[in-house]
Amino acid sequence: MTPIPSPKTRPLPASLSIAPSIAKGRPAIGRIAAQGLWRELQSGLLTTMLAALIVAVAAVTAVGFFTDRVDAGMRAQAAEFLAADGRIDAPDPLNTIQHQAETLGITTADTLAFPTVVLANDHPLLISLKAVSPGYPLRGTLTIQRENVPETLAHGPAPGTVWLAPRALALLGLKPGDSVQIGQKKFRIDAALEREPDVGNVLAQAAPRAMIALSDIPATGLVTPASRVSYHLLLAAPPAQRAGLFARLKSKLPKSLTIERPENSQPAFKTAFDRAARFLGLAAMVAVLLAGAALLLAARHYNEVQQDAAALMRAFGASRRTIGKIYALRLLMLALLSTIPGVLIGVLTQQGLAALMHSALAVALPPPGWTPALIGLGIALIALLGFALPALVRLQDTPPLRVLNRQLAAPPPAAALLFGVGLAAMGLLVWLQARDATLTAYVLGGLGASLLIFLGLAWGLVRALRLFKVRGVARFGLVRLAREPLAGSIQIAALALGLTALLLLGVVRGDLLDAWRSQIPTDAPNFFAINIQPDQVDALRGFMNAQGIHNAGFYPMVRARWTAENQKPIHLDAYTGQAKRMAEREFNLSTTPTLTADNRIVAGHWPGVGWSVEQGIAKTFDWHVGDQLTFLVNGSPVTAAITSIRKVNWDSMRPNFFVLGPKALLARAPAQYVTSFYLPEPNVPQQTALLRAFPTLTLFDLGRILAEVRGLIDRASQAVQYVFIFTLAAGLIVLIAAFHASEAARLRETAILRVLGARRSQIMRALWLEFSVIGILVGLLSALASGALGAVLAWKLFDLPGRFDPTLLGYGLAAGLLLTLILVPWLGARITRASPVTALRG
Amino acid sequence: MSSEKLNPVVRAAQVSKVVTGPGDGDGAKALTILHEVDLEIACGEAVAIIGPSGAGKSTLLSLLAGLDHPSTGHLELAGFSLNELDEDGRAAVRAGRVGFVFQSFQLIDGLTALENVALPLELNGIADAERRARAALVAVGLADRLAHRPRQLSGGEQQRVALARAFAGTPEILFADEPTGALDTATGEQVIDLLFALRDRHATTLVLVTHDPALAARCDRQYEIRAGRLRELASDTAGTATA
Repeated sequence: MTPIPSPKTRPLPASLSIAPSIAKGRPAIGRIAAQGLWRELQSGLLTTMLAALIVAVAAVTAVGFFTDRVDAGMRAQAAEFLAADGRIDAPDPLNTIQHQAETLGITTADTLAFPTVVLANDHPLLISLKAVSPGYPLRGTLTIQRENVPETLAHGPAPGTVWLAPRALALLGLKPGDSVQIGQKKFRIDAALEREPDVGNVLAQAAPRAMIALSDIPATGLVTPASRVSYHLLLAAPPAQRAGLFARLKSKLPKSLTIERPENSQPAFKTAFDRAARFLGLAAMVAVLLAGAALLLAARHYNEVQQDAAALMRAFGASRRTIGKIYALRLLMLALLSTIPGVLIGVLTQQGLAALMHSALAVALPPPGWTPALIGLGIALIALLGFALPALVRLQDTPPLRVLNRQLAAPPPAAALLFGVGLAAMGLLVWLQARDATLTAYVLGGLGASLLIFLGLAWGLVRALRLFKVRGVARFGLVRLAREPLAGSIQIAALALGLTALLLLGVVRGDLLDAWRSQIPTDAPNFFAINIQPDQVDALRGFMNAQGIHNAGFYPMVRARWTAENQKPIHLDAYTGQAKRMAEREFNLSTTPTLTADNRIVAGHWPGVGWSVEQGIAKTFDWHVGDQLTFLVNGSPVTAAITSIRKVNWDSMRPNFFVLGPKALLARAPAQYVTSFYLPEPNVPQQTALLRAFPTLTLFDLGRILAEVRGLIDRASQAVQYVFIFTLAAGLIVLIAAFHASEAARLRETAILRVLGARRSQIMRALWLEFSVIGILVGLLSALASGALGAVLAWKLFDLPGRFDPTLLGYGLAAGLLLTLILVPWLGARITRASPVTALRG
Repeated sequence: MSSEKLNPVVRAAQVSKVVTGPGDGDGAKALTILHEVDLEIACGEAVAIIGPSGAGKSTLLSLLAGLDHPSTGHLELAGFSLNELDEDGRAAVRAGRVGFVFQSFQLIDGLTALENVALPLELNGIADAERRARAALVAVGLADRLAHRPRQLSGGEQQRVALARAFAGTPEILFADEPTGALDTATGEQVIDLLFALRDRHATTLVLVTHDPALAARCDRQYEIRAGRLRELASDTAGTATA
């Protein structure tokens, strides 16, 4: 007798391919996930999500590759400011350390510099002599000029010859081929020294440069144990080993020495470099966030479509856990699948654009590394897990009864989960791109606040729309906005987020870059004059006025030594590195009745009866308002409390001071004056006239360093604009991809309207109404958000004055309405072209 | 009831529908869904079209209602030649004259029951759309469900909303496509009773597609469609059908 199978063990029909493995309790999750992925890719269901993900990965990796290369290129160029990858400065020869460095495999060169006098035809001229060893410069090049022909060289002058700065040649009335005496040795002038990479501390270069070979130094007889010579050991190493080798060398250095790196070698350059890095980080970040918004929308659409399949699998007996695993695995596969073309497109895009921008960037770009590709994969995974998984996780809760009643659906994902995980993923993605906790915090805070405001306003609009008594299809247009408040709000918020990013890139970016450029205006002072005696101030001012030379004002400089803090004598041993060097040095105290715009009080009050100190030095020495500082001025202690802390814009090229005091405190101290002024190039005759009228004056020519910094800012601006253009394009693609997500629902609803007798014009009217409201709302929201974000970014991150540009509202509204003008005809054509029957069946 | 004596409100002459289907490797392949169908339905008649799945029932209904256009043949609806009209023109013919009931209800999720019923009335510019929609919902027994959204209603209730929407505009013709297909037997019977009651009250012409012979039997005439060819099953009227 054939046993009747128990209903519990009866096998499922063989036609249900996934059934047997589920029924046996060993679900072939991998196979089901892969089959589903393949089927959905073929059917086009995952196309939008895949495209969004590929665009996201491509945008991020392209930006990553490019910023990586620009960053490396800029760092390589930054090395020119040191003529090396690292430099050790000391008052004594560095032979032992040089030997240690070479033993480690570090390439070295050494230079020394000191002020001296050059004699030509019995005319003396104070110069800054620099002697360089073979191998100098390790990074960058020198530019010299012989017979008005500029030459770029990667080595210093030959022994027995000297290169003199054009200013020195002009002041001495010499030309290449003539001779000069330096110490006990006569040198032939080989060329005019137009440019050297490591200008060094410009304020220490009190006189025009003269450069000779290091091997000529003994013959000059100028360097003795008592000489005030600064020795520099230049270091270079391949990028991959650089950090490790420098760390090992540093461990062997005495505490008083440190390795100077290009990033912090020049305050002005450093500021420019930091800003460039921040701008590039911002551009990359925007691409990441746009990708996140698109994935969020695409995943919601996928969730809606997948409910039938999930219900079917549950009806076949799949557990919630199995369903969850299948979809998580499918996302993982999708991440891997999208990364390959995404990274490939990213590589090709960045290569094409790097080639396009090569001349404009004027930075030699090293080949891309593999890190951005790995970051691309990581970003695909994080983005999917952060933005898509929360939307799909509730698929496992799809009721099996849905196979009979399609109205039954999985509960929508909890908003807290959706946004919480999304925000966490966003934070991780932004950090991966920017590697800057402050920037990440600001952007996340700004976006989080914007998103909440967007959602709140969208929700408010939803409620308000219900009050409107609009009739017919027009009402349908508004009601469509109002229904499913969460979905509607997310769509508005995503659009507003996208437009915020575009406005931030398109408008605020321009403002920021303009403001950045204007930090060093073309007529910024390019000369500093010191050693101005009090009785020369009026005469010099009159001379300058007569010559039409605008000066930045005359400031007294009182030399002083810091001796005590809160009545306790300072101990230099308590400080290291830069703090120690600053504490050892004499301070230049000054006094001024009014603060110029490049000084901003950040703590305390101005004017006060005590010291006003610069923010950076206050941080270095842990000074606070109220602390008592004692300076030894002309042999007498002067004690006062700190009454204010100032943020100083050093880029202004005006005389600025770490410590300012009230006139009463410094009135009896001997002072010399300092000023800065602008002389348009060529300015040798004016310099000569000035120095002949005031022979004791010392001039510092900042023109070269200013040109270098301006050049860097311009190149960085171009790089940033290039990256922004790419991000902008990626953002537009992502926005269009996001709209695909709502297309199916719109098709069905339009079909119902058509069946009920709605004409195309009525449907288009509803679309116009709906998208006009969306456009206006999105435009306003994004204008306000981008304005606020831009102001905060300018103020907090770029040290630029933060202001809200009211024209943003116009741009926002115009962009919102443009979005409407583009999207409505496009969407209208798509949704009204399909036959109502096809749409209803589909 | 004789359709020859009354003006036909629905007329199909030699109507065929051919679609392009997937080929066998040599390119696309033409697939005939409907083959030279002739049909006339008189005002006030109830006609059932039955047939197995995939026979072309819904395609014929779509063509008769002006939701789709035929490959060949001539179609008239409410005295208008559909062949000469574009989609907008056909929509204008449907508006106010034609009601629909679908197997899957086809309500708009974001609208309340009242808004769903009022929508076609508002499309036609009827001033007291909301009052009429409310009355229609009361008539189908959903007075206490006016503000509910489709997802808050049972399947039977959703189909009753669809019935209210279909009859609120007092259409001349009602097209019903498997109206009980998504409902259990008891609920389905209730919905059908309601449909016929409303149809009798408004003297509406009914074109009903179903696979249920019992339901078809409640109509004046019955047609069967097989492999795209239509034939009348029982003929005590003057309606014509050719295979």
